Amino acid sequence: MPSPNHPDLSRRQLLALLAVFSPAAVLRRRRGRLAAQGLDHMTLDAVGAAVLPAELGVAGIGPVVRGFERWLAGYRGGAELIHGYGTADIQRTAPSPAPRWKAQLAALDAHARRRFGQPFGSLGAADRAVLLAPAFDAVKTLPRPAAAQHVAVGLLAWWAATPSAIDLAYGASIGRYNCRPLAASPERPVPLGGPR
Amino acid sequence: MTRVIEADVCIIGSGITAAMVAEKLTDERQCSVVVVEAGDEFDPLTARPALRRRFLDYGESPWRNDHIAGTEVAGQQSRSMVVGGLAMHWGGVTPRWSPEDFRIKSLYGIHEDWPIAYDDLDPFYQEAEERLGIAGEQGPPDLDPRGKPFPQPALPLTWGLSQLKRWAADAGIATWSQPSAKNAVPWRGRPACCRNDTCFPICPIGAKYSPDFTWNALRHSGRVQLLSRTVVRRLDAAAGSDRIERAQAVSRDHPGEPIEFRARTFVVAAGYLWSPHLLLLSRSARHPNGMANRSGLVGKYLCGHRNVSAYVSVPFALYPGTNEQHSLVTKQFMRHRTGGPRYLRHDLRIWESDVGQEPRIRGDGGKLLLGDDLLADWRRRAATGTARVRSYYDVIPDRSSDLTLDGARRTPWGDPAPRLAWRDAPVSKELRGASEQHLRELFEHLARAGNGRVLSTGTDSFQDHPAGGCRMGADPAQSVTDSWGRSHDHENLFIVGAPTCVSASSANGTLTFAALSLRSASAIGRVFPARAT
Ligand SMILES: Cc1cc2nc3c(=O)[nH]c(=O)nc-3n(C[C@H](O)[C@H](O)[C@H](O)COP(=O)(O)OP(=O)(O)OC[C@H]3O[C@@H](n4cnc5c(N)ncnc54)[C@H](O)[C@@H]3O)c2cc1C
Repeated sequence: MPSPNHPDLSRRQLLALLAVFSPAAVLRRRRGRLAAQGLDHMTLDAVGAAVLPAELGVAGIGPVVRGFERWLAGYRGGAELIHGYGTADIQRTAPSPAPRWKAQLAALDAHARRRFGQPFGSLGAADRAVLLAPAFDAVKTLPRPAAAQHVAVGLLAWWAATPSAIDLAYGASIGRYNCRPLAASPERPVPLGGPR
Repeated sequence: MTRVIEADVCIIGSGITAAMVAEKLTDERQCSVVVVEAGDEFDPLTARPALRRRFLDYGESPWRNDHIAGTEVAGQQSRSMVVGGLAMHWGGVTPRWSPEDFRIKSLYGIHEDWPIAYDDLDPFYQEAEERLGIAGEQGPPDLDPRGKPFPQPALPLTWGLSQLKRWAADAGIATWSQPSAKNAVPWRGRPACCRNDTCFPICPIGAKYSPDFTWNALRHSGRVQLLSRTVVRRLDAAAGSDRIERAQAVSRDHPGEPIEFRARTFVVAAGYLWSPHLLLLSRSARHPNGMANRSGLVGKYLCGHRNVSAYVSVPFALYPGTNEQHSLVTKQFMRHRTGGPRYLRHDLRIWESDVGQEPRIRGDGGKLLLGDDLLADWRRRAATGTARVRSYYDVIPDRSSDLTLDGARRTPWGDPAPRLAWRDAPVSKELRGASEQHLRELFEHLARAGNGRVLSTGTDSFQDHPAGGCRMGADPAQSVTDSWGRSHDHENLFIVGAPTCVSASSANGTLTFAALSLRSASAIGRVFPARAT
């Protein structure tokens, strides 16, 4: 989730993004949006199982992955970002990562078939980890989801920014960004699973 | 052909200060008011939940069309030219300044006193608080004097802020709930805050005041005419006179058809940036330096405050996210005390934060953390909390801290653009290092007293809550307006709010800008008959 005070892009990145508004770029973006709807579910589910906490369980990982897909489908490249404070720069979202991520899922699956003779989705946890390891090589901190080079990093970053992930980490029903009665706000957030 | 629009009062700009002037004038006086705003209309309240969602999910700006391409200037500028101005996406934090702010020359031998005292402004602070709907907690009366109680009870502290209040008390610092333009109770048709924590940039329910509520009400009742997408380019005086006769404007939709506003009184309410700019643009043979500028001080003494901040670990859990935008505040340091640098006045605010507890993909030794490992590491670090602390400190402006006309840039309608440069007076320049060091030491002291650790510190070089450029004063040679905002040079020209400030205190300024504007409105209204109540 973005930090409101610190816009995503530098001035240099913004200039680079101006290229995004050529007619060819508009066509490419439209293709990108369509492509987002075509992420390979089975491979993406398996990526989710490899990078998300097992504690979520199968019943928890599925909805996270579907939520990530919905988020990606709603992504708009070139949209104006929240303005930085005290700066005149207007910055915009980067082009959709969907085409890149779709290609990565296809490559992961092809790699699994070549190396292990099975689709990525059918591999055991250890083999999935081997194939995914290079995706994390250069990653030092969790980026904003859309800035993730690899879809596995994007999925993990997206989950980690959700209010439910935050609740899980703090072990309490914080309900970030939810409305709550003002009178209840002085109370300590209730532990997950109800009052202890 | 020129379109002519006549009114008793013509207000230029539609930000929060303009909204205060228009509301008070039309509440109390029989006068027609026309408001001219360069920017577009805002999205209605009903559109805001969806716009907020896109902000949360993608970081997109929830304020569409809130700036005008081509109006970026050299120097610090926050973008928002729209009906409602900058306060459409302000944080709604509304402390009063302190009595010392208005008397720093008398008390400390520094800079200048204002031509008014805190007590002169107190009733207008109160009025602004009532019109905006301020929820606040009375601080210690000697530090935080007020003639009447806050109109609304304080916003309650979250559980985390209550812990931090105790933590600050361990370091000898008494704090209280930051006054805010966010409803603690339903107010003037707007609901109470529900703590969904996106006050900045967008409150989706209208619990935070923004000027659109005032404009909607005034327009709905036919009390003002507001023209958006209309830019005033210059003010003209009547031939051979200092009386302002008309404002010349251009419609952004029909640039070929000039508009002329004729009024008995003109009110420049275009903020710290565009108010002095408009006056400087309004040059003529009789007024070669622009309007209201016989002193040569239009655009001079731009002021603001800088800040030093830190993240401090605390040895207890917090739950950031229940309302990270609300803070504790103290005015304990807004009175200069001996023992630190020669002159230093500052506020101190404390928030809960998740800095230092964010999920990590690399452990301390660089080990990759995925899945359960990532969650376990996150949980371990979330077991103790982080406080964010920040102090604004008073910066004394130099005369050369100024807005000038930029020879290299033009506005979209062909006028020279403004150029901004903030410059400290020698006393502030000299004390800057020691002041910032003193604040870092204060944060260290807080950390130590509460068994915590300073994780990082930062200093913003820009000046927040910018003001000045048309400062008020009793001496026409040393100021642009009198204490009511009336230009010394033109008896029917008022400049209101931020530009009239002599100095900028060490706390958020907008409540003061609103109070000053209401005080100006009381003077503007004197020439019009009272409205029957
Ligand atoms: C992100 C953000 C958060 C903030 N949070 C806080 C906070 O929590 N507390 C606080 O005290 N302050 C805060 N501020 C500052 C606050 O928003 C401003 O001080 C305040 O809104 C200024 O109001 P104004 O009426 O002086 O000017 P503005 O809001 O700038 O309004 C001036 C209007 O005049 C119009 N205009 C200019 N020139 C012309 C012309 N020639 N013709 C026609 N129209 C013209 C402009 O388009 C603009 O809409 C914040 C600011 C920002 C950007």
